[in-house]
Amino acid sequence: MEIILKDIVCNSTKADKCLNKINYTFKENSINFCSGLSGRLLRDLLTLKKQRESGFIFVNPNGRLSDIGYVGNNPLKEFNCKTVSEQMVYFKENYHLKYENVTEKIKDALLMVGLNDSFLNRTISTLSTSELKKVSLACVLFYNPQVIIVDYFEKGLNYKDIDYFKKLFKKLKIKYGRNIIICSDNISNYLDVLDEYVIFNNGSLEVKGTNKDLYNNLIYKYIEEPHIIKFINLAKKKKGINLDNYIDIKELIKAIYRDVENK
Amino acid sequence: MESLVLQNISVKLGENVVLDKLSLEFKKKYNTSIIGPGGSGKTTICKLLNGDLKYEGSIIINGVQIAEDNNSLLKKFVRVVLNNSYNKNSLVIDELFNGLDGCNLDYEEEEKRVKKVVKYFKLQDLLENKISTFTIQEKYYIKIIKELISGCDYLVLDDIFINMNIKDVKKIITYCKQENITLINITSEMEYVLETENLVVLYNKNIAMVGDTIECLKEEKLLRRLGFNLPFLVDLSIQLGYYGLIDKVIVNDGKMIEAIWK
Repeated sequence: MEIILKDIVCNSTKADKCLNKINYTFKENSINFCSGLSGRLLRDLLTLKKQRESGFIFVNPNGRLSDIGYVGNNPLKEFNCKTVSEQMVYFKENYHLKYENVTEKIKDALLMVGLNDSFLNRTISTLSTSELKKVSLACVLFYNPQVIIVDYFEKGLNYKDIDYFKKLFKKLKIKYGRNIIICSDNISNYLDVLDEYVIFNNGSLEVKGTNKDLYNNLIYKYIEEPHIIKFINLAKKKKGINLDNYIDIKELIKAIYRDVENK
Repeated sequence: MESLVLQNISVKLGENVVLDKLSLEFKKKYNTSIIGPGGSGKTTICKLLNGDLKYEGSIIINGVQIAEDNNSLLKKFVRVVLNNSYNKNSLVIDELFNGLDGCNLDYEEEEKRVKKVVKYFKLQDLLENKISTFTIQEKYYIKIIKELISGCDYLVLDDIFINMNIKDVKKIITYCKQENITLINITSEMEYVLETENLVVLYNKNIAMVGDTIECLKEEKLLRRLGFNLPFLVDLSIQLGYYGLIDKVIVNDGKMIEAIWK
């Protein structure tokens, strides 16, 4: 599902909730990394919970409310039921989903995020931070939206979990044609999975690009530079070592070995 | 030696056992990172030290056992910053004074402490701003400073640094060192474990590994099996060690480059 923002203006006292005549297209069937813009604002604009001051949003093809999924950084805010299954049933009724076997659908959604049946009747208040995030994503997968916005999703998850979810996002994109919009200030975790990135600052679009130009120094004026990029740039600056633009540490290690051996 | 000790701590949330006879010692002046997979009890330790949970076992500070319901005594020594929403409408200056609640200080001393943190953390221009108007990074920065101001012995952070920029993180760590506040940093971001001397790895409601941070990180295979990556430079050091290019763990980019391309 393609989302086109055209001359969008939003006013707010918060920098990440301002948009100052923004033109940008979140292409369909892609993983977008987006920094400096609140995922919640994007969700609210797309679901008309928040009205823009001016400009247009085109969603192509035209979607329903349930086509926009949102996983927040603080999932507790998003839950309004006591248990995991009650929450999913709430979505089923709210979005008028016609599932024949709801329990099976809930189990499938939990399984997709790596959780088993024992979570079906777990009280939400007893879940750990990472379990809350997983359940929150499972709820979104349960109603199966076209676009999934994840807001600082990686915060609080360990490497293994993040790796698992990157694979899941890739699968959702490739196999099911979903758009994933990752709102975060940490691009390091997503270097190997993102298709495009867009960086906002104080409501203005500052930098955009694809996974082919992650070594663009402009990006790192606004967000933290991934350690691997910082290291490769420093080696060039300090010793004149020209390593390729690697984003995988294993490739970097081989390149260092080759370089040292050749000298 | 001054220390904060958790002795045989068990915590149950409903039917779930979240900590099972956990024993841990945090020595004063030695900062500690705690890592663990989801559901291993990291946040439970924070809530426990914040006086929010019923538990079995003992919390002992500097040799004195803290009675389970004596939260004010616990708070005198230990301040906890939980990773929950902080959306207050109050002003920064009011929040800083709120951090001194329960410290039983006279107004002069309170003012002195507030002035000290305002100067150190350069908050002069933010004092009259509402917390609710801040970015997430700023909110967590103020949330930590609000607890630091109490002059506690131990500051426990529940995965807070992941929401902040590295410059602010360094500033807080330096302040803690300077003021003799021991940091217990629960983290999901492995780069931050290098900021503390000790590391605790939780797994399955108990301890999988505890010790000097670098020595623990050398247990690469065990850590990966438990679902952790290594900090970038530690990973690079260990992997380049297999190629015979590095013979120790280096945690500084410049030194690493010098060591590789001598």
